[in-house]
Amino acid sequence: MNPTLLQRIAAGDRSAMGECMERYAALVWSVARRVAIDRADAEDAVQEIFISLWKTAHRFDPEVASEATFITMIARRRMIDQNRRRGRRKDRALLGDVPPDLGPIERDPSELADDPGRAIQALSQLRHEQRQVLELGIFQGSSHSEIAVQTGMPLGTVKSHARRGLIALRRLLDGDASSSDSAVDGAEAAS
Amino acid sequence: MSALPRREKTLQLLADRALEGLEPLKGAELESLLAEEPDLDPDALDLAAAELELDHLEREGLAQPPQELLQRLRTLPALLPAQSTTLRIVPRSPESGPASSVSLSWLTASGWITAAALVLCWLLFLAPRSGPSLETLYEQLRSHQNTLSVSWQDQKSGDLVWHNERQEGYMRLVGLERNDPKVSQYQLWIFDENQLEATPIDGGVFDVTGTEVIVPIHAKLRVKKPYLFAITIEQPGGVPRSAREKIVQIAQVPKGP
Repeated sequence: MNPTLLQRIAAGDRSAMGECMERYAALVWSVARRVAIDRADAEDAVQEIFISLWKTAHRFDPEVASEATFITMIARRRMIDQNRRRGRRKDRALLGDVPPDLGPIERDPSELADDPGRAIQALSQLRHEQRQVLELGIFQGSSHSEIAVQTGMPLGTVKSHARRGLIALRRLLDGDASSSDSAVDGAEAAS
Repeated sequence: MSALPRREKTLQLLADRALEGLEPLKGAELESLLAEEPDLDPDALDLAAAELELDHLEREGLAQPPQELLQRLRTLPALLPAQSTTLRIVPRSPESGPASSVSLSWLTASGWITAAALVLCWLLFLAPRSGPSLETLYEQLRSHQNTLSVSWQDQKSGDLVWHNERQEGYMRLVGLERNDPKVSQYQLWIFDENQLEATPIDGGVFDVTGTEVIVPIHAKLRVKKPYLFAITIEQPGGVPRSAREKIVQIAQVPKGP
């Protein structure tokens, strides 16, 4: 079997790194611009994410996740850590230098997730509160404290819904049909 | 602590990390807990969150990156350190650096005049100076207003300070392998927005003589807008243009507001 792009990168193939940037620059840019405080910040973040990818590609396992998912994970971690180090959350609307939206691009769907929409379908099977917390946390980038304010839930409850929701989502993505919302509580200890 | 609360705690920290990151102390706690839970995949919840965000982004439509960014990305592969590069931490030893390794065995044959000239050179250029040490100069410049300070790529390997108006800078290098100056030397390259990417500014040739060293930067051209510093291994004496086959460190300058 031919090595994947990330496996070639892990082996030190610089041309694979170039291909990876061509293929996934839009994805990484899309993740970065949702969190970065301005365009320069987003551009720097994209470069740092690819440098990080060069160093972490050896951890990619094609049997566990698609390349796009793995790259999104690396990008998310980088942006979350950056926000945390800054100790503040962005308010891009106030800064005026919002990374530009140059419009969606035409892509070959095969370049991204193997099964587009799979996670969103799984999300729809979670309990309402879990779904709400994950949507605010992942789609809106809200912190647990912000979600507590937005929903009126106690912080501990938000964290609990986040944990149980993510575990249930993981199990559903792994094809465990028993991980519907009602099974989460009991399943957690055995995760 | 019983098994159940420990696992629950581990999963809570994994979920916290996946959604909003962890403070260093919590991160260390998670590492410790994961060591006791070898059956848990530490990336499982991060990957679930990532797949959900990926689906969401695809549904919204991916954004087109700016052309300038794509151009900068195209230069990145050549600047990345080799995957096999490992920065070995060399224990400190009392050996001195290259300056004191000059052999004086041939002096007898060269006569007193040569000896006197060498002694004078040593006094002028090689003898310990009474002025501030490199460490002091580095610290002074670092604390100066308008000094650019950037970490090397892995952050544990030191940093670099550069002052544009003064055209003065120092590298702090930690754990970079000692070189044999007869075989190879390190060379700094300064990538400046006013220079072509193919011809970065030569920042000077240097040797690494200990676990942690401070090295002054000797830019051969005026540095105006540096955006990246890179250290390569080159032949003794350095090269006018690097093939960039052995890049051991890079430090990227964050773009200003």
